[in-house]
Amino acid sequence: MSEPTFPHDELRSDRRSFLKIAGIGGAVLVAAGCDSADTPDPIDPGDFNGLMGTVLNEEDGSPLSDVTITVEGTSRMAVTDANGVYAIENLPTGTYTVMATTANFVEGEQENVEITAGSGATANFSLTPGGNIVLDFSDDFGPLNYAYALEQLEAAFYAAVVASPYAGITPDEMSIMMDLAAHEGIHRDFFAAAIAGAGGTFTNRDLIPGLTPDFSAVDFTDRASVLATALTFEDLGVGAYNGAGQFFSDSEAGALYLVLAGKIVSVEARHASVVADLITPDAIAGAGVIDADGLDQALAPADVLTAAAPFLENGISVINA
Amino acid sequence: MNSDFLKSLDALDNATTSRRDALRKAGRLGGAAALAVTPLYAMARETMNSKRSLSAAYGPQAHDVLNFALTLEYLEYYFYVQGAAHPDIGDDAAVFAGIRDNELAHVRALTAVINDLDGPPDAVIYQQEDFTFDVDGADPFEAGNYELFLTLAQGFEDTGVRAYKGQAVALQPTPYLTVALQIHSVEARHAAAVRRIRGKQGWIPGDQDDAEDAIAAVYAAGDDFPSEANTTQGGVELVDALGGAYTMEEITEAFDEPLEMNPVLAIAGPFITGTEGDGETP
Repeated sequence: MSEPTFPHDELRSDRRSFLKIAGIGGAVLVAAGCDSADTPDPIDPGDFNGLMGTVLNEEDGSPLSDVTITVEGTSRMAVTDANGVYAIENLPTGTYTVMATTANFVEGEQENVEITAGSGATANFSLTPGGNIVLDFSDDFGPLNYAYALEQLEAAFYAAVVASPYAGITPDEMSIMMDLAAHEGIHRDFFAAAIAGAGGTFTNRDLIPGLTPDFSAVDFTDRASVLATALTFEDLGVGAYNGAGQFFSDSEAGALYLVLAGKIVSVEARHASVVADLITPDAIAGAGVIDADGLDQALAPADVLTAAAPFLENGISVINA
Repeated sequence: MNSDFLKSLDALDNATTSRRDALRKAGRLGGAAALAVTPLYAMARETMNSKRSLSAAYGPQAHDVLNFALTLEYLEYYFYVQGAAHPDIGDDAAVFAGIRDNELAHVRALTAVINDLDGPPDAVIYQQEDFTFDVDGADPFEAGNYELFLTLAQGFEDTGVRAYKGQAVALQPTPYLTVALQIHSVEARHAAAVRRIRGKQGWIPGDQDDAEDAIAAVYAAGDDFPSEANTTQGGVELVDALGGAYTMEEITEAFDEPLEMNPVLAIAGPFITGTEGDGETP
C-alpha cells in the first residue's frame, strides 16, 4: 500500500515557501481549489506543528474514510479522506490524546501525542470492527444488516441455551431449542453471505461486524427466564421483519430481498407460536402481540433496537428509517 | 374494525394517490367489471403473479391481490366456524376458537381495506354455503373425522402462509404490503399451532412427502417457486455454502417458500363451491 499523501498536495510547495518567509510554525488551513502542481513531495511532519495520520481497518488493512479525528481538550477535528488520511494543522504545542471515531468500529485512542514547536506529529490508527453500529436505511444494506443484527442476537441466545439447557428441559423442548438454534444460525450466516455477496464491506459500513450480546439478565438455568426471553426475541423479530418490509427498494434486488425476508419472518412466527405455547398452553403469541384486527405487529426499526438494546453490548442506531 | 388502522393506511395511500390516478386510466375499470362476474379462476388468470412489471399496474393489482387474500380468509373463517364446534375437539377448543376469531378479524380488516381503495367498494363477499369442505365424501366436521379436520387445517394454514408470501412483491409498491405481512405472520403462528396439535414440528422439514393426499400439493413446487424442500436461497445452495454446519432438513425448515396465485387457487378452488356476491359480511 502506498505512502499516505497529504490531501492538498498541489499546494505544498506554495505553503512551504509561505512558512519559511513567515517564520512561523503553523500553516494556514488550505481551502479547496488547488493550483496545478508537479509531483508532490512526500509529507514531512517536521514542516508544520500539525497532526496527521492514516486510519486503517484492522481486519484487512484497508483505509477508512469518514473517520472523525478529535484532539482532546481542543475543538480541533478532521475527517479522513478516501485514502484514510487526515491532517489537523496549527496545534499549540503540548501533549494530546487523539481519538478516532466512526460508526461500526471500536473507537481508537492515542495518548501522549506530542506537538512541539516547528515539529508536527503523526498518529495512525488501526480500528477493529465493532463498537457503535449505525444502520442506514437509505439503501437495501440498511434493512439487510438490521435483519443480520437481529439474527446474530437470536443465534447467540439459542446457542447459549443449547450449550447450557435449563433445568428440567424435556426431550421435546430440547429438540425445539436445537432447531431454533439451527434456524437462527442459518439465518445469520445466510445474511452475512448475502450482504457480502451484494458488495457490502466493513470499510463502507455496508456490513456490520459481529455483535457482542449481553445475556446477563437471563438465568439460563431457569425455564421461565429462558422461555420468556425466547418469546421476547421471536415476537420482536416478527415485528421487526414486518416493519422492515416497506424499506426494501422498489427494484429487482429489493424485490428479491423482500421475498427472502418474507421466507424468514414466517419461520420466526412459527418459532414464536411454539414458544408461546410452551409458556402458556394454547397461546400463539405473547400477550397483546396480535391486535384486535388479527394483525401481528409491524414495528419501527428504532423501537426494535430500543427493545434489543439491553441484550447487546454494542450500541445500534438507525438512520433514514 | 379499528378506525385508526384505516387512517394510517390513508396516510400511506395519499403518498401514492397521484400515481394511482394516472394508472387508473390504464384499464382498471375493465378489470373490476370482470371481477364482478367471472369465477375465481378467471380472476386468477387476469391477475399477475410476482413479477416486477406489476408496479406499472398498481391500481388493479391492489384490488385483485387483496381480494385473493380475502377469499382465502373467508375460506378459513367458515372452515373454523364449523371446526371450532367439532364434536371431537376436546382440549383443542380454545386454540381453534382463537384461530377462528383471528380469521374473522382478517376478513373484516381486508374488507375494510379493499372497500377503502379508489373506486367503488368491491371487496368480495362470501357466505358459509359458498364453501364445501368434504373430501372424497368425508365430512371433516363429523364425529370421528377429527383427523381429517386437522389435516385440512394444517393444509389451509400452510397454504395461506405460502399464498401471502407469493404476493409480497405484487404489493411491494403499495401501502398494503405491511398489512399483508402482518396477516401473513399470524397465519404462520396458526400453522405452527395446528402442526404441533398433530404431533408434528411447527416448521416444515423437507417437502412433506408424508403429507396426506388431500394436502400434498400445499408443499409442492409452484409455477416457478420451488417446493418446501428447497435449499437454494438467493441463488446460493446453502447446504454447501454454510460450510456443512447445518443439515439439509434444518435448512429447508429455516425458510418457508412462496406460492403463486394459480397453484394456490388450484388447492383452494375445489372447496369454493359458490360464487361471491352480495349479502352480509360476517
